[in-house]
Amino acid sequence: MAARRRVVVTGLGLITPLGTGVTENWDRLLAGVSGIRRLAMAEAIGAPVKAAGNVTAGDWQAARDAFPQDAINEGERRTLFALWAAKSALHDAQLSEGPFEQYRCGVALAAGLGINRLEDVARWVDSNRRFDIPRFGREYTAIHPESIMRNNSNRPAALIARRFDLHGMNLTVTTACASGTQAIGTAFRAIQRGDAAVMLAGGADSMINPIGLVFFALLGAASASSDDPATICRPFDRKRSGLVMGEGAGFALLEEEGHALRRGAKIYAEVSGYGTSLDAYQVTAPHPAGRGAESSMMRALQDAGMHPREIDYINAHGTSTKLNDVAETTAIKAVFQEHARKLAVSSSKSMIGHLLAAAGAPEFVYTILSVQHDAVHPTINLTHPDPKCDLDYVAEGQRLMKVRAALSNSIGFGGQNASIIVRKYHT
Amino acid sequence: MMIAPQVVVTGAGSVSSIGATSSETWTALLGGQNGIRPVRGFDAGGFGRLFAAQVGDLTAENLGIHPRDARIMDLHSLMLMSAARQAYGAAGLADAGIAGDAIGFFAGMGMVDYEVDDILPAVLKSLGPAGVDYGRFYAGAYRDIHPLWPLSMLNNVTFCQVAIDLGIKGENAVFCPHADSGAVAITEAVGALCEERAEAVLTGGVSEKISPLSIARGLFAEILKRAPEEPGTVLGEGAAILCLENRASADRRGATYSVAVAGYGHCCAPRDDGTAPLPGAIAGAMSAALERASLQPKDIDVVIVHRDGTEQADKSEDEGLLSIFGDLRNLPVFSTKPAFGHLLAAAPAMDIVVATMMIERGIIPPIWSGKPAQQVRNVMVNCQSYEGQCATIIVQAVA
Repeated sequence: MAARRRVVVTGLGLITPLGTGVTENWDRLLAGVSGIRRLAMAEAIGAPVKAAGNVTAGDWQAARDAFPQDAINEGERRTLFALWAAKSALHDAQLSEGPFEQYRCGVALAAGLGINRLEDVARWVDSNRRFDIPRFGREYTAIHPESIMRNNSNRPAALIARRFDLHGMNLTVTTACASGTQAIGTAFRAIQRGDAAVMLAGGADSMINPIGLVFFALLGAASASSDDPATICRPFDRKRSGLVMGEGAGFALLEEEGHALRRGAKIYAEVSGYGTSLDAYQVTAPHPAGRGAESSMMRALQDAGMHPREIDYINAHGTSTKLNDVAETTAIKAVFQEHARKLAVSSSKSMIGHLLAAAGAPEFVYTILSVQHDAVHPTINLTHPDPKCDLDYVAEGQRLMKVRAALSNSIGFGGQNASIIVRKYHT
Repeated sequence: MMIAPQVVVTGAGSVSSIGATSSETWTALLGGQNGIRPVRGFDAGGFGRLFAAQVGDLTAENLGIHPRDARIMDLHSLMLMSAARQAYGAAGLADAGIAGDAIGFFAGMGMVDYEVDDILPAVLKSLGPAGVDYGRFYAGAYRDIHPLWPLSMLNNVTFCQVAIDLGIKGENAVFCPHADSGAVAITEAVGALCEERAEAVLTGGVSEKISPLSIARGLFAEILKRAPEEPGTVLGEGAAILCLENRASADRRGATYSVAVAGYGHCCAPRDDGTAPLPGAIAGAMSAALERASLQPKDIDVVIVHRDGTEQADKSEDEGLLSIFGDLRNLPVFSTKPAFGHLLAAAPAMDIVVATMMIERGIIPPIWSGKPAQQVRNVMVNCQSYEGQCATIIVQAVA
């Protein structure tokens, strides 16, 4: 096996329900501020989902103002989210301030489902209440600007390559809720084996649209609670009622260690291990004992050459669904054994909601910040402990603690799992 | 940097418009057949005089898939299932004694479009005097959509169904949606084997199903032929999956193989009009693949080009080829698209299936230009997305 290159993180960028800045996000997370709000858009009135982690109107406008041409040409919110977070991470890393090898710098993006609009069917319903395909064929250019037919999932990654001259490997991952971690993990691998010197990796998603608002309700996975929005996402709590959608994007600039050192980049942390697995169990539910998540965590530890005792913190997938939170807890206990009781475990989703395909991306950024700052954000709303979820979820508020290394989990619908480990960087 | 240890192809499976298996597709290619016909299954006349290479006779029942599972499977799911089962069987994985945890799976998959009839009842119930009334939709109309319909819209769920069917639990990822995504999947599979994170890996891709929505997408991107005499690409349906293993472990279990994946390269530099990669990116991918395979351009016996028939993509690729190979007059160039159309994410693995046959049989099928090689040892496969991504894979004969 060839020697593997070390991979470090040198830039971070975010746009989430908690804001557009990394520091802003971190301060609010530590303070336990929720970004979940009542849905205010006209097209959401009466929806089975009452609240979501919306990017605020002001932050959305900031993203539009930063990319005026793309704001006109691109049909999806996630594209502008991706551009904003990508630009922020590049700016943070100061990569473009010196010469860089464009063909050694790539992009890895997690992308979601894309948007399906009822109007794209309704417009071509004929007098017999059937979809008139020939007329659709003649008039297809009238499809909705947000339509999946106009927005390929690999378009944002290509746009980032074009805007920022990153001409190396360019890939788009679509593994549902595991996508964000898999995009970052795939970027990590590309640098490790020498296929790239730099990868801008992350995810962007938004399903806060009419089909998205019924998507998880149909599957029985969404919280329909009409309680105070700030309280409805309750990972690991006995009264949890399902996932709450969020939207936004997160990016990290991953860089080969020598490349970063030569250009004098500030290094946040080192990416030390990554693992993926398949449940091969059911597409409608995770393995009840979390066998898939257990396997992905074990693989990440083996990949990093680390003992479970070296991990101090887990940024959990923690969706606030009945099935996930128990399965993930069971998996953590299986991997970490007695050390599981000493770990801090928290769910960012309790505050920003579930960013779906992108979820692992901002959660990776937060995991890096935990390692950098020796601090862990809380899981908010955990007030009624579930006996089956019996780990330390940092329910009482932020905690200052030594975080030598941390692991972030993502678990996708269908049974795809991904875990990634970051640790403090030492030469 | 060479790919070490050597990664070999120990099995393959495919579905295309000209063959339900790889050998059927090869026989049809040798016979000069093509699967391109007027679009069938729906009235595509409104779009123009459209042709496509569509797969027929593939049903869940034929594949022995339980109706419960088939409920969320469309044609792309069935094609992927068939190709993966074929590759798994051809490699003898069922009897190889390799644990599911040690089998990886990486695939490129297309965009997933809904079947209009799946949501039409909900749309009809949601119609008000001014068109769609979301109040009506939320008040109950949406319940006319099957509760598992959302899963059918996630391309990774199909992937997971294949994993369940074959008991695959190892390293994995799904990339999306164009030809380059199928090449990324192959690269990641090679990486997993070289780093010994898997003992065997299934990898490849599946195309989109031809539907009114997928055609609209292609027309929107201005890549599809609207009529036979116009420039543009012809969509094809199909899937191709390879079983890759490290040569040493394949030898230990007595698996047979004839080719290795020797090199790969990936770049992305979109033209400003978003119609193709720039020539420099295409050349960059070829150059990286050659370097990784420790080959010179003169060592390449055949290039299976992307050449999708669109003006800009073909021009970019020609310029890229010219910058790598210099004189193109003596370069044997082959394209599978005249036979089974553009298979999008399935294209690179399908082209590797064809390349493997070329190497094994020493024959270049009759859709080619330039001189035939005396011997086919090294085949370069190019692929790209009109969004700007491009990739090259090189496969090589192994003694």
